[in-house]
Amino acid sequence: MTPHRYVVLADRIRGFDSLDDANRFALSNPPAVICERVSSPDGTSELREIARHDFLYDEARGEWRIMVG
Amino acid sequence: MTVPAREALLESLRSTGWRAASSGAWWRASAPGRPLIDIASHPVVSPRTFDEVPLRRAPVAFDVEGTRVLAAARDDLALLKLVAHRDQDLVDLAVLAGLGLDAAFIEESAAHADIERRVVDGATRARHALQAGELAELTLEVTGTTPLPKSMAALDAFLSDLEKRGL
Repeated sequence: MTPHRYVVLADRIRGFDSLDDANRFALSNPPAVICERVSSPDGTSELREIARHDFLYDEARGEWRIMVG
Repeated sequence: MTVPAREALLESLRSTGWRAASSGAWWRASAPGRPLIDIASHPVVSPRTFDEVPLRRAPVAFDVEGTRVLAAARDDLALLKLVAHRDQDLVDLAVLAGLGLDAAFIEESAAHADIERRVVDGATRARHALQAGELAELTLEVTGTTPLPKSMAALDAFLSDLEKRGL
């Protein structure tokens, strides 16, 4: 198995080759964070956050309604 | 962290431009272009189940770029990971097991907080993910490398120890 370029960290972790697919999965599974794999010269890689779908901020109540726990 | 420590942290963050608000049991602070900070005070409350998980070990101090930061001890973290048991928690649990976990302490903590059932759910999920190869795939996806055999063996031993204790 080869790691995917985009990885969504939600209740379940899913890898995707396209950002559109990652976005669709993240929007359907909040709270979710979309990460992109970034390669290092030494051959390793790390995930960098590029978007979050957990900022459901309720202005009236002054609190976040959904958050990563 | 303690409630006074949490209030001091929130005051400090707000005074330097962060927006901080609660989400029930947790607090979150954000600022444009800065890392997101989630803050839980003792006892930690699961936002999904509302179970309270007291931290029973003494906190561990780390030096982060010259600042002393107190964090939950390894066994307390492992208990929180077993209660939450999302995919990311299982990957983290393998790393913690590789560093050494005390199953007897976790058994006592689960009984103390009356969360044995949640811990059993988490341990069962971890056993299945380990044996089915799912955990290896998740680790590869998150870290980009195959999991360390030492961590997987340690997790297997830790989960077996929990099972012998009824968890």
